[in-house]
Amino acid sequence: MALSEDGYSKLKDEVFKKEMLEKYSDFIDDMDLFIAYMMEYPPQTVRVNTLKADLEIVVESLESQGFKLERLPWCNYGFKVEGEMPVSKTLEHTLGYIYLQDGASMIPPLALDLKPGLNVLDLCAAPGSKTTQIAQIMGNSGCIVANDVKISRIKALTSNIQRLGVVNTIITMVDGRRMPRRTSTRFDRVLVDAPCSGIGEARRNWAPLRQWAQRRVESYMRLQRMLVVAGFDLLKPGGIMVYSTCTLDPEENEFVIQHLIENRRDAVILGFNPNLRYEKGLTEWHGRSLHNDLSKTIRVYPHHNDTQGFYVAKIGREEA
Amino acid sequence: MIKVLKGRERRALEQRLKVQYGAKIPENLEVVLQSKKEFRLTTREALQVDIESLNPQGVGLKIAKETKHGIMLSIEGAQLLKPEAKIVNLSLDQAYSWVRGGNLDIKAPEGYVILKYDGYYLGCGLSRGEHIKNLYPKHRRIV
Repeated sequence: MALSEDGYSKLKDEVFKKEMLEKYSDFIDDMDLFIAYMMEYPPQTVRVNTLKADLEIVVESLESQGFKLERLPWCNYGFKVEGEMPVSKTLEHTLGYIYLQDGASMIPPLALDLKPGLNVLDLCAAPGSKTTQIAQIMGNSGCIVANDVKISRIKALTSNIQRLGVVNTIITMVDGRRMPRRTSTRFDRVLVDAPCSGIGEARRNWAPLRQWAQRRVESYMRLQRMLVVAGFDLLKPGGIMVYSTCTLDPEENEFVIQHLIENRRDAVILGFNPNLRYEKGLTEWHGRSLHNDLSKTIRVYPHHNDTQGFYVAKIGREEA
Repeated sequence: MIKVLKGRERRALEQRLKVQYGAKIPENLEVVLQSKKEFRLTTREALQVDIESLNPQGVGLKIAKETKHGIMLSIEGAQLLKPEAKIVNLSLDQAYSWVRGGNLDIKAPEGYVILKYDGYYLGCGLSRGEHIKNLYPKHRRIV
């Protein structure tokens, strides 16, 4: 049943904090549209797991079961799926031929410039969406160290790595902030998909919107700054690191990369250009000037591509 | 506790998988024995990483485990090793019944059998002659 204008307005007031809306209106282009999308459940999207199955066969099989699939322009094995039953109830899902993953969340592994045979670290890996996508891009070759900090999260990670048929992964459980001191291994690629306030994911569950508070954002920022520096310190010279979050607050995104640039002289922000609509990263926020190259980072807004909200930054480490 | 199977130990496992299932381990992958019962596959590069200080929780992909009835292939083990023996082909309805946790009233030689539907490997079941006991992992069942 559609909501009346009054009902919509009341729900909006209940779900969104006024302070958050005021802040977001300083960088979101169309707040009414943004709010409308945030209050709507996102489309069902899947990644076809080419480690296990031929893409065309899986697509044909899902279509023969009545699903309509639409390929995502920025990821040739990602699809928007419509059907009468959830795609999670299919053989293809339980057997690991497909993985439910938001379209925007497929971007960070694409930004890593992966090649077969590399050594990759996924610092905050659970539940494994991006770890398994990295394995897929590398054709199950090389090595991925998939790390997370909590046993409950490790269980989900283990289960997804198994279901998706990934062989090239080692699962480790340490606090990512301490990892550079615990191992001498350095990696060709590092993904820091950091814990965050999760506003970009709130289309599935409004809890992050209700919990939003500036002090919560700043608390995440402190953790993210430590993680991004640790991730960078684990990167080989000449390597590439991607930092991403599923939130949109500048403190958890551009401020974190600014912190890295100020603290590691050999860190450089690299550009990339995924085939979807996005906004450039902010280079100024409430009177504070940020590094110009932050405009090479990308902000993905839910109302632009009907995805989650995401922030992605690609960082290079200069050769010694 | 992780042990890499080399030489004779690897060949012994390969022989058992060949005899029991007509299955072959890909040559480019390493076989690892974890907790004495679980056989896993991984890459050479994964075994070269210094992980001892990183509290490792698991390496590679579980393909099989040792049981009192012989070697039982995991779903992924069946998908990766593509066994040719002990195959029981299912209809679509039977396949869905299987992944929902149902036993199957199908005659098959006693012991582990591999369930398959139209090119999809559904893992192992335990045949008692007149019916096949469901071993599909509970957390992966469609409910």
